[in-house]
Amino acid sequence: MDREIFSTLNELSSRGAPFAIATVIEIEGSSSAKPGSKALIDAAARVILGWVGGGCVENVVRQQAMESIRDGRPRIVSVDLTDEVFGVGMPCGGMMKVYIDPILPPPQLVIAGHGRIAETLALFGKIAGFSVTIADPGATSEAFPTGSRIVSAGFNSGEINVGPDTYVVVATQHKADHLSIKKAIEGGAAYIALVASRTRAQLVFDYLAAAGIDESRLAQANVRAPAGLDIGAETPEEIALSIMSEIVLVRHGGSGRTMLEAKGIQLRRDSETDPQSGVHSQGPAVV
Amino acid sequence: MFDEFLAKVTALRSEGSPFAVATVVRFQPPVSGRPGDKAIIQANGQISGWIGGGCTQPIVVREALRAIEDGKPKLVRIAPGRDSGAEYGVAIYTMTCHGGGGMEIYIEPVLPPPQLLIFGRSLAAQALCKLGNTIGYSVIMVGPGLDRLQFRDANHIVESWDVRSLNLDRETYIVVSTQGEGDEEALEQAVRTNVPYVSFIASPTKAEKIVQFLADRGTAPEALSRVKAPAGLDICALGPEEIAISILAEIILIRRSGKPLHRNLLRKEASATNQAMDPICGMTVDAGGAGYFSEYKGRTYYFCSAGCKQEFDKQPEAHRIPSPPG
Repeated sequence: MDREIFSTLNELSSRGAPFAIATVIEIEGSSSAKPGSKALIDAAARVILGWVGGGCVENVVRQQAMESIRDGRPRIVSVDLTDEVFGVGMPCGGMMKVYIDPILPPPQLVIAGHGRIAETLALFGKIAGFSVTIADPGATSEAFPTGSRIVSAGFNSGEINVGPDTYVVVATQHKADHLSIKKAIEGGAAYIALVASRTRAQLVFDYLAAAGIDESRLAQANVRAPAGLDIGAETPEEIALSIMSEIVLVRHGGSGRTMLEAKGIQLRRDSETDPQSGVHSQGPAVV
Repeated sequence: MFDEFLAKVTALRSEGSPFAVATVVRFQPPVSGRPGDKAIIQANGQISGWIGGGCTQPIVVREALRAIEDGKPKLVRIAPGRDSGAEYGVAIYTMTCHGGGGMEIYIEPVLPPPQLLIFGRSLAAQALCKLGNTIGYSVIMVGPGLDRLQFRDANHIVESWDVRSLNLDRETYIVVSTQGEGDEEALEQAVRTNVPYVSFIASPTKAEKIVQFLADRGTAPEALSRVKAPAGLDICALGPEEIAISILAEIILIRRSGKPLHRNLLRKEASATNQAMDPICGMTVDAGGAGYFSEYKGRTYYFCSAGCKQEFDKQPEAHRIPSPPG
């Protein structure tokens, strides 16, 4: 990997911009690109740097790179260069495979509130690869893992931005939680959870309705209250884990039941089991 | 006095024995116990310390043993004569000594943390070790050649697959996370235990092969059928950290015996049209078809039954749903 690509990678990554790396991994026949040729492509399908071949190849790769940034899945693109002989492009012949790897900025976990649930959740969030922000006037750097961003001005300050890649957990024990939930809904957060008693949560929902958030918006926002999967969590740490499990579920899907129940697999039955059901591993899709 | 008490508590904690602490919090003379008097009750019924005389002790021991069993703190009231009535969370006894006094004793169980036994040193094992430590489990890493520095969060490290020397009780949870390094040996040892949870991180195909291998080598089918594979909750976990989260969630689920479903009740109430909440019992009722409703301060309240309506009408102010905040 040459130096220029490397420094651009660092620059893009520290800026938090999504991009994809396209690498030629196999060539049959002749082509202007060689295995190892790379291009960096941004979310608008523009080539920022590098070269994986011109003409039709470039179009396909740019298009697929944009798709991969959107769905977050790496993929291999096979381009049949013999088509080019009969098409409009250059008559090269052969075949080329390009591996496309999307590099997305980590999702944001914003926790409004402090206390044991917030502290543990921040730790779990870091372990699960989130960029963690604690928005609370009472949050101290001693209580939260290093690397978490602390916004003392609170969730409803201008310092907190909510977008479609933001996961919001409101655990303020009442302080302005209705305003926080409203802000999270209006920002289109990927996940919104309210840690509160049933009574309090109902008050917040009543407020949202009174504040003019219509029902379809509310249904779409799918505010989780009570927060987390129902795993019988009792301690603050267990509650934090149930919320983290729900966040993973919202990101990737799943039924929330045990794998054994969900997949209906019984060990020691003669193997007709579906090899696809090992959800734990996922290879790149071949396009 | 307090030093002795604290020393005993510390000793029991470090040896991992369950016990309960009983503290007299209120007294009504004439009784011999005073507020602040403390006793420690062990799981075998042995009591050390002082919380009052012959009539009080058997009651305290009985309730302490119950608390050790169900893990819940409680208040015990021993009252002279018939008590006025039941209160939530309070165990009530009649004082049998004829002094005419009474007392209240707060009993709190102190149980050793659940044990998480992790076989292997894979990335998932590392993530589980960290997560288990964070939620307050006692983490024991198992496997030959484990790097102690890598598992600094572990409470204990066993450098072989043999866990027979450990005290594995019904609060022990085993995850075999070897991922290719000693799968057969680790799972063979894991299923020999008698713990409530043994899971194996592996694809169904691989799990089946290894289970078959162990069956052929003589492991009992009942033992093998307990193995949970695939492990964890179905949250489409990707990567070792998310897999560890899904497995710990399953362990909590089994330990707490909850139901692994969404509890998203309120959202439905808020978003479904024509649904209202009965302010007495909290049930969701169909406002359109509700047979029972009342008007109060310009607002209509719906009820599930005549009983709830009657309760509301008696004292509407106490039950009305407050206006939105802010």
